Amino acid sequence: MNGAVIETAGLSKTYGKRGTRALDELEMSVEPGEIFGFLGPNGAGKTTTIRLLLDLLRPTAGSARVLGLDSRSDGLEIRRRVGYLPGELPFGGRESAGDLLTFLGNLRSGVPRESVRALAERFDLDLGKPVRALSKGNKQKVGLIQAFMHQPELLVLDEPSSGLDPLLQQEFLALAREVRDSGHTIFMSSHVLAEVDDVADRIAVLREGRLVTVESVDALRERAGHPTEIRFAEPVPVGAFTGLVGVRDVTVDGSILRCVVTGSADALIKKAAEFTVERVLSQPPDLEAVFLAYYAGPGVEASGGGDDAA
Amino acid sequence: MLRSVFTKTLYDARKMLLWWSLALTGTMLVYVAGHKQYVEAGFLEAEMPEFLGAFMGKLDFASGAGYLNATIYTLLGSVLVVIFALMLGARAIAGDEESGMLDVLLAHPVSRTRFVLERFAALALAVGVIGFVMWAAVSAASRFSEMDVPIVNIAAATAGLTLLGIVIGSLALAVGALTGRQALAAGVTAFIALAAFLANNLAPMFEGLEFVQRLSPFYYYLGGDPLREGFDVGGLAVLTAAALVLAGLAVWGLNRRDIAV
Ligand SMILES: Nc1ncnc2c1ncn2[C@@H]1O[C@H](COP(=O)(O)OP(=O)(O)O)[C@@H](O)[C@H]1O
Ligand SMILES: [Mg+2]
Repeated sequence: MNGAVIETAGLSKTYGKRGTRALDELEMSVEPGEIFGFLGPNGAGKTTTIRLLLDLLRPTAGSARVLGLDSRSDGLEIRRRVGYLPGELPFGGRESAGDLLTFLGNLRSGVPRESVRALAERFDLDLGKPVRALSKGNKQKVGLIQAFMHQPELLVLDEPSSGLDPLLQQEFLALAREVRDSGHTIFMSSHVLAEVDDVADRIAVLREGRLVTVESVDALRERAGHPTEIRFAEPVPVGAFTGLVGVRDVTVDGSILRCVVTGSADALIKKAAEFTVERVLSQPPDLEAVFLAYYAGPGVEASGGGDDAA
Repeated sequence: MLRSVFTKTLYDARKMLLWWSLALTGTMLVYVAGHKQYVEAGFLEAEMPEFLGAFMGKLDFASGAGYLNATIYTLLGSVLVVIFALMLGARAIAGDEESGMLDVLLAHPVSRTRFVLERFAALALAVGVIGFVMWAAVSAASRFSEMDVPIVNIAAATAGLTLLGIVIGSLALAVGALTGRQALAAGVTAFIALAAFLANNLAPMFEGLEFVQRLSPFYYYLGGDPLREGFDVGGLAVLTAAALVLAGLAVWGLNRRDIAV
């Protein structure tokens, strides 16, 4: 398909007549075939956005288009083509997980039994157990299976990793990648960057109902830079290293130099070569640090997000 | 049974249906099958205070029709059927909404209108089953105690009670659809049902208030004296129309608002 998979225009939600502004004029678009991470602290408005997309909530203002269809007038067709994982899974019935999944599949006029069985095997879920007796993690598996089982073009997942142990989280991420590689789109929320930065192509950060930023994870990584440490044989002057291209946050502690390298390390290495180098240690980008700055109050984002924070 | 919202709702209610059927059957057998003995033992001849008649209809306990009308169709049976319908109706939408299941169900390609109507149909059928069980139990027990009430009249009264139950259940369904709150739906409906019951029985005793009786669904259920007169098509039609209007209200109520989690 062409055009955005999800596109919102001025999408706003206020609960109650004079209640909280949970979502404030959201402008966002999600492209086909990407995994889009929707991040923000608790209460930021992630669940609100997701439920607006599915016509479970009605916008106070603005509109949303999903798969090219209007969320209000074409809700039925949208829900036919979307898989949804709610943020909190109810599943308190007496029926078995298998029966529940069969029922939910029937609401979509049937889902191949094989598809359910394969997913259950993959997530190691016992379909015979009554859903009410399942642990939180196992309910989460049932939720994931019902979202993925009809191989929808778009998956809208509200905090998919919550409740899954690390192994299953990896399994889920692997599944997400496969689905993306087959051309489908995934929109998933989380309040922890680490849960999505491995798979997401782009992330949006929401805070107090407002969109703070949208950017590709690669750009974020680029911007975060590699924390780097160089040990010299003797103390070095800090002045020699400040102002180098692609080097920031320079500190010198005797013979140890610490800095963050963004982009190429060439300038730093050539300058270091003027001294006697004993050891070089370069770490992966600290996305969390950049990201946490977005979470903090207004004003902080500028310095955390900027290239020259130091 | 997992094919649709309609069948799944009935499937989920199967145990409740079974237990209520058994309880209802037992109650009918005790009250109705024993009528002959009660009459012979003189249990039913004690002086009744006048005001009781207002609650129990015509106090003619000796005749089968009078006894059935007062004890079963005005009081015991109607309370049981109404409570059953009220419970089903209150949880039909609000129950699932409070548990969060409505969020999951309505994220599937099922329109809210269709969802409400399937739940309404399941409610109507479940109350219908209860009504059928009651008709069978009362008919059998009345033969046993040699009552002279035609089975078709028992069917007429039970049909009215079934429709009354569906009306009350639909009211609970509609309040649940409008508010999303199960306890509120049950409470409001119980209050209205009680008021309607009193309106039917007490209003005629006050001059100028007779019209209030016409507002009560109980009037359209028993007002035509079905145990003696048989089917009151007009009354049944009014009850059917009321249930459909309430179902429509429920559809409107759920369509116009946010679904809670
Ligand atoms: N049903 C509701 N009624 C009133 N306020 C709500 C309701 N649901 C959410 N909110 C408020 O809206 C804001 C956004 O909530 P939510 O979308 O659930 O955030 P998130 O999913 O990002 O944690 C929060 O301040 C929350 O308290
Ligand atoms: Mg949430």
